[in-house]
Amino acid sequence: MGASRELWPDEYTVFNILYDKFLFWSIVVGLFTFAWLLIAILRYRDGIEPAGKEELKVGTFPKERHNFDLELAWFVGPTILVVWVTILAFGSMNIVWGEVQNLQEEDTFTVEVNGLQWYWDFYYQDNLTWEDMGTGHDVTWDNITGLTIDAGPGAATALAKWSIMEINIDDTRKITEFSETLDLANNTTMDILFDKAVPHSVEIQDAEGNVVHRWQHIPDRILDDDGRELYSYKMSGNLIIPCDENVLFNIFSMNPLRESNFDPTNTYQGVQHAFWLQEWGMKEDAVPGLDSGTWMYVQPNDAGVFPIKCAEYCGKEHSLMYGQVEVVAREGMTCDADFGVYFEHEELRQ
Amino acid sequence: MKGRSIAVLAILLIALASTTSFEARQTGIVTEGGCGCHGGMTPNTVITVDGLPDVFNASEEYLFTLTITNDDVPVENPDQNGGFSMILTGGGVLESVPDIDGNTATEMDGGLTHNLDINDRRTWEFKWTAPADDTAIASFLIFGNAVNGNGAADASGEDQWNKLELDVPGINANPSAPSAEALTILMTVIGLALGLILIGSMWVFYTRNPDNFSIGNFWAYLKPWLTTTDHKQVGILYFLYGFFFFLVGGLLALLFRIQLMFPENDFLTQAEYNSFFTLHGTTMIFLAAMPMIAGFMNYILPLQIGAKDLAFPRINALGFWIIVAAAPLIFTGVWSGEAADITWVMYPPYSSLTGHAGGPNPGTIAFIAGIALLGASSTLSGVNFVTTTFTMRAKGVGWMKMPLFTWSVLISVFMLYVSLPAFIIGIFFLLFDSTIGTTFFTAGGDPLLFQHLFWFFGHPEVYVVVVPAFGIVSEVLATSARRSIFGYRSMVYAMVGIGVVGFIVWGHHMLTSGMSPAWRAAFMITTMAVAIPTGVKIFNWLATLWGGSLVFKTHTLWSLGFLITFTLGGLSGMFFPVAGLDTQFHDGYFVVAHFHYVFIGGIIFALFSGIYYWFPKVTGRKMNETLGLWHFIIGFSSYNAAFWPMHAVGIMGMPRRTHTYAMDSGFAELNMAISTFAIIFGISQLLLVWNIVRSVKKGEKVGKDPWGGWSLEWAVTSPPPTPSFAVEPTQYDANDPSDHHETKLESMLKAPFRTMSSLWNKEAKS
Repeated sequence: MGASRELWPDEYTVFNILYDKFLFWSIVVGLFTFAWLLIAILRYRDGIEPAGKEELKVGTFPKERHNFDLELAWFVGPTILVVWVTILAFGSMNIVWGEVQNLQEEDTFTVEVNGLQWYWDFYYQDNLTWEDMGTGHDVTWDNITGLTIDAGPGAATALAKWSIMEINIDDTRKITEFSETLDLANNTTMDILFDKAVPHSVEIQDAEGNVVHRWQHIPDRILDDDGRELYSYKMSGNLIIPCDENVLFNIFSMNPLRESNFDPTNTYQGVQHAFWLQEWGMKEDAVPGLDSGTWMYVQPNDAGVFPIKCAEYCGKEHSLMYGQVEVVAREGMTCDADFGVYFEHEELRQ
Repeated sequence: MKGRSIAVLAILLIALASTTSFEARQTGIVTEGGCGCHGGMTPNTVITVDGLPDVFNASEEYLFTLTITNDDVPVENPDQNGGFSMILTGGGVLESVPDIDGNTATEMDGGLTHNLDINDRRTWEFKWTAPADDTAIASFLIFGNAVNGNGAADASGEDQWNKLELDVPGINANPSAPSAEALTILMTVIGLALGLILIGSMWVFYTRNPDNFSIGNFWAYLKPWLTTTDHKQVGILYFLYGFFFFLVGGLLALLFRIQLMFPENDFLTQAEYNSFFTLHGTTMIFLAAMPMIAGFMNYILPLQIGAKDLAFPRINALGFWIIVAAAPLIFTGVWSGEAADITWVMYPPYSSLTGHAGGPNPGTIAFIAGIALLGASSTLSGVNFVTTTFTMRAKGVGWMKMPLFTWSVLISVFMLYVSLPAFIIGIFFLLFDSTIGTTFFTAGGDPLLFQHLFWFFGHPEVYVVVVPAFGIVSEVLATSARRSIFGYRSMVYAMVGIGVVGFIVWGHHMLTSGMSPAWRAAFMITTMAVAIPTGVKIFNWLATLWGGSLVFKTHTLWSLGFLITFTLGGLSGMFFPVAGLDTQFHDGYFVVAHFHYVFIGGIIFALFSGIYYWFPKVTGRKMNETLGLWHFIIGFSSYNAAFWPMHAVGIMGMPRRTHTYAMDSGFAELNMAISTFAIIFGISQLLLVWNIVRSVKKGEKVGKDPWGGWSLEWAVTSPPPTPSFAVEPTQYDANDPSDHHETKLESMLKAPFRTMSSLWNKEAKS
């Protein structure tokens, strides 16, 4: 489940910038109102200033007191403030929701999120090869020499997993999984060639069996000639996304195009969920029955593990519907780049 | 007349009886945990077990077979047909019987599972040695997976699985008694509650005059309350009903606050927690706030406009007795753990999936029916107030001469009228979806449609309850400052403005539901605009205090408290329409904090203020000011201490409606504080209860106008006679029309209209 986001982070995210600005104006309005209230009730209390007392007679509509200029002032004043905070708010519209359409057209790293009762499934639409940073180990797996492990001190064994895809004559595919444990004391290479169309992974373990280094290749999804999905890499619970690039999420509740048990005579088609990545202050509902799903994107800047939560009540185990998102560096890269329109947007910096 | 009443009762009874199945159904919980199944869970996969006894004998051996059938999953690969996992709890030894080739199942933690050797079939044989203790109950949890063996894992999801739970008790075991039918329990509870109320009121009657007590006298005392059509008595009934449910809703809240005190707490089960917060929300809004306000409307509005009674007294009484019928429907199942768990917003498709494994508790159907009854009641009582205000105003009570509370009620009832049809339609479609299998909001229909219908009602509904609160506060502050309200007309216009703007903001409740950015922008602007009329009202109240001569009575204190908390609630409301903030706050604790600031700090505080303010009018006695002061000090401070930290946990990312939270989430300390102060806030309400009970008998006696108010309700005796005015009163006007001096700016702005109207008049004359 992981820890919550910090209450007062020093990072400049859209949320923090906007929150600071709205908090500022709230404090201004609040101080103004409460100061007025406090002075009014202290200064004009009974016995201090009897001058303001009027003769109210039962059954007589009292003398109207009003001042058009003052009333206009506190109609216009809040209006100006509201217009100003609306302008502030509009600065974030495009970043938070407007960019999605551009990102759909670009070749953005896309993950399909499928909310079910009560867990998340993630289907990768684009490939991702990543490796742990700074562990002192290095894994290389290519299609010329096969797997080479450059193990640092402390590594004992490596568990390598790979798959082989057979394409049948009718274009259906079958993927068979294999795995092998290498004793790194004797053997640091394997002559299985890398095939980018199928998943591969290597986990280096120390003598106690703890995983000290991970390397993984997630393949592109495979479509047939009709654009139908033949294969996509699926994860449950844990989501892995690369840092320093846009990550687009296509969110479904029990994706009607994916679940074979979708049956028009069965009224069950999933329930509403909301996919919440609180680290980036982003959430979007998973709405049942939407063929195209809903969309959102984040721009992770730093590596780390952050919580995923379901924000929309979805039934008995709603509160257990959480997961983790792990931000990793692509193989051979680091998360040092100063990336992110999301974090550094000019409109918000003003 | 009697025949008609019997007919109405008969129709109600038939409607109740025909509301579908109330019986508690078993609902399974589907997880992948322990199964490792792939594909989807469907009822098409049938798991059958043959050979297990109904009851076992100690240490006897039983041979049994497990079979999975599913015609929809054809056998494509002879090596991979099916798999299973079987978990045994409660004792005994489970073994796999070797097949012809000698292959057996793999042992796993607490049971057996399939392996590659035995995947080529869908039937397996086992041997179970029963436990030596024949009072035990052995439970089998069996997952069966029909696999087509095409190797595509579940990417295409063609494999189908299901699960089966089976209990085999020992021959001397005492299996738990079957749970009683929820309907029986419901009827028992209603009977008990009626009995308790009867005995309670009998006791009240007895203490009034112990010497002269007889059942006949008691009935003569009780009957007028049950058959009354007098607006004052119906008003008191409404208020007592609402106040009772205010305490019930508060008790539910305290129960789940105890659950949330500690991380990973299990004081309440998930099912209990889910039903309790559902009932808390619905109770507080529909059964507490609305009836309490209806009580004030009933009692005060006719008095304020100088009417003898409401226009339709019988319809008024009918409106009350309908919500009395609605409450037990809404609470159906709470005693058997099967109460509705669909949240007060009732989002489908979850809420319409009753009976499905992933759907809500069976009590949901009765709950939705109860909500529909509330809609009927609101419509009936609403028509009354509109008619009364339009036709029964006394002489001199012109539109712009009505007290602000009357104005607020009129605006609130109009808002209710415009918004309610959408809601009723949504509720009935939801009821049809869960009972007769229509698909308005489920597969083939549109779940988002309900959200639109609900929030088109739901957001104005907030104003329906908060606008009368504005009215109460306007009356109390002006009277306490001993002068007229500042800017009477702009107050009326601001309330109308809130009423109009309130109808075009509902989309901000759905900003994260995939709405197009253009609509999100539109709702963002309209939502921000709500702040303008609200600001006008707050500044007018402040200007009323400024230069006055403020008396600090308990009702003044609660109204001042209202000003503070409602302003805070309004300010936090400004955060929601903002794109980058809503995506974090939506469905989190920041929202919970915001609407509790608006609902408790706005509506409930104003209602408290109204209770202390109008209590002398209703009973002829004042409430105790010392107790009232303590109620305010403890209630106001503990309320703020309880709800302010919710903003912080919301920013940190605690989702609402969550049964518990993790140890390392960092929410623990703040939740502890919230719960502690919430309990103090809850207990402080007992001061109010005690104050009311005590003051009815022992309070200081008062005359017609204890606080110095001007409106017509202070012109009658306390308590008012029936009918309220023997002779139609006349309201005078202290304003000399010629006395009005326009400011320069005002006359500049009005000049063009004046010219135009004079032109028009000239043309008309010539």
